[in-house]
Amino acid sequence: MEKSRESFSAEVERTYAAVLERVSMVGIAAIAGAYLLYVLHALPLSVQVHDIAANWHLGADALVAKGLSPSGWSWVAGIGNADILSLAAIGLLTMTPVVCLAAASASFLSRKDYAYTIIGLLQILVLLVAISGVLTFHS
Amino acid sequence: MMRKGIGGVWLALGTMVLLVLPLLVSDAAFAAPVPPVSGVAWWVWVIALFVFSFFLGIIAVIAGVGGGVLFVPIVSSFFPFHIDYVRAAGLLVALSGALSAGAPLLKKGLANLRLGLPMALLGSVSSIFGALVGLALPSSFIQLTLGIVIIGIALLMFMSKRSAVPETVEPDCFSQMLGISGIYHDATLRREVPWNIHRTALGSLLFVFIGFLGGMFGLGAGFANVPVFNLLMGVPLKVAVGTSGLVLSINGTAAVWVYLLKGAVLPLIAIPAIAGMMAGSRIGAWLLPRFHPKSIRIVVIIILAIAGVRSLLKGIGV
Repeated sequence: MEKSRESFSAEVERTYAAVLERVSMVGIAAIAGAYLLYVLHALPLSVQVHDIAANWHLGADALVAKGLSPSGWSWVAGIGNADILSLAAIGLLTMTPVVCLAAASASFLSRKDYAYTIIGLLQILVLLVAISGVLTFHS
Repeated sequence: MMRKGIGGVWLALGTMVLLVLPLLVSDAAFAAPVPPVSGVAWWVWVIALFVFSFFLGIIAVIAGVGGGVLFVPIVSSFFPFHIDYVRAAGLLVALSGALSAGAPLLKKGLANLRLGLPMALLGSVSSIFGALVGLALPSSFIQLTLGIVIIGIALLMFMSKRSAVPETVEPDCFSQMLGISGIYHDATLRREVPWNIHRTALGSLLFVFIGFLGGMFGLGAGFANVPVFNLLMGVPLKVAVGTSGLVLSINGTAAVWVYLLKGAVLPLIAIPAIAGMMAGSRIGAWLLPRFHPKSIRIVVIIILAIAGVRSLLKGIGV
């Protein structure tokens, strides 16, 4: 076992951990803040809470068809509403691994670890494809 | 330790107040007609979901299982929410738990990037397809197959033996090529533990399958990641658990975006679940040394079996 590889790996892991700690904290704070605005009705809602509750026994397709849940990236247009802001905050939290992977890939590249740089970049690409909705609406 | 616990209690109480506070606000929404499906006011379900997720967070940490595997079958069976939203919330619960625990595990060398990234790459692709397939299938079929899968997981947990530090294995060509090996300090054993892996190809194939299942049913899939790492590939248990969290945080992200873009993420359901699970996990971490994980594990297996049977019966319309 190469000692240098072990210490390189530990450095990359520390980089990933540092980014993970900060970015996930931002995501969690965003969720808490957005949900507070949501439940306190501090901002307008795109869909009233009781409308959601009256239909949450229906599947996602049915809710989208009724206009009670956004499909694709259409929700961005309603970002000024508290419910959509909560959704955006959830989206922000789920972006955490993308940011961590970007930092890790840069770290692997700086250590000339090309195999893991490629794996890291491919992983980012997979996540970006999922986030873009390319597969979701063209499958 | 004590201060941590008190902090966790305050966190839980604060979150509960946050969720109950709106109930004191006079608003037409709270006096809205009760949804015809459940016969119970909507906010009761939201509070119940938070409380349930909170206790689930405690149990999950003590039993050493991810939250998603318990969350999805129980909530989809006993709450009025459609399984689409429960699966999305289940993924978010597992994801947020993994993100919270990730940094300390990485710093201690218990979550290994060289081991986790190749598996996550394969698993995340299949988890996207799993989510797509799951959302395309009838919900009764999903509920039925979820029941079967959960009963299978309960059996797997009942029969599986975990190996804290497996025998040193001879690394295979794939693990040598990617340089997958590591060393961590085991506080229990009071020594540095070096490790290698073998059966990398077979393990990778299994991660493709696990990713698909996780995406399809909204499960964190730690229940499957850990045995594959530990029993099949020869990774020490602590590293297997830590790296499993890393893998599921990436796989969960890939799958949850399919749900989000299909309109299956409802903040009204997802956020109380996340908040409850995170608050409960803090309490669980504090209580962990005071409990015997084995006895809790048996309780979890029984809960899983009941939830699996309930889900199966719901799937066939009983």
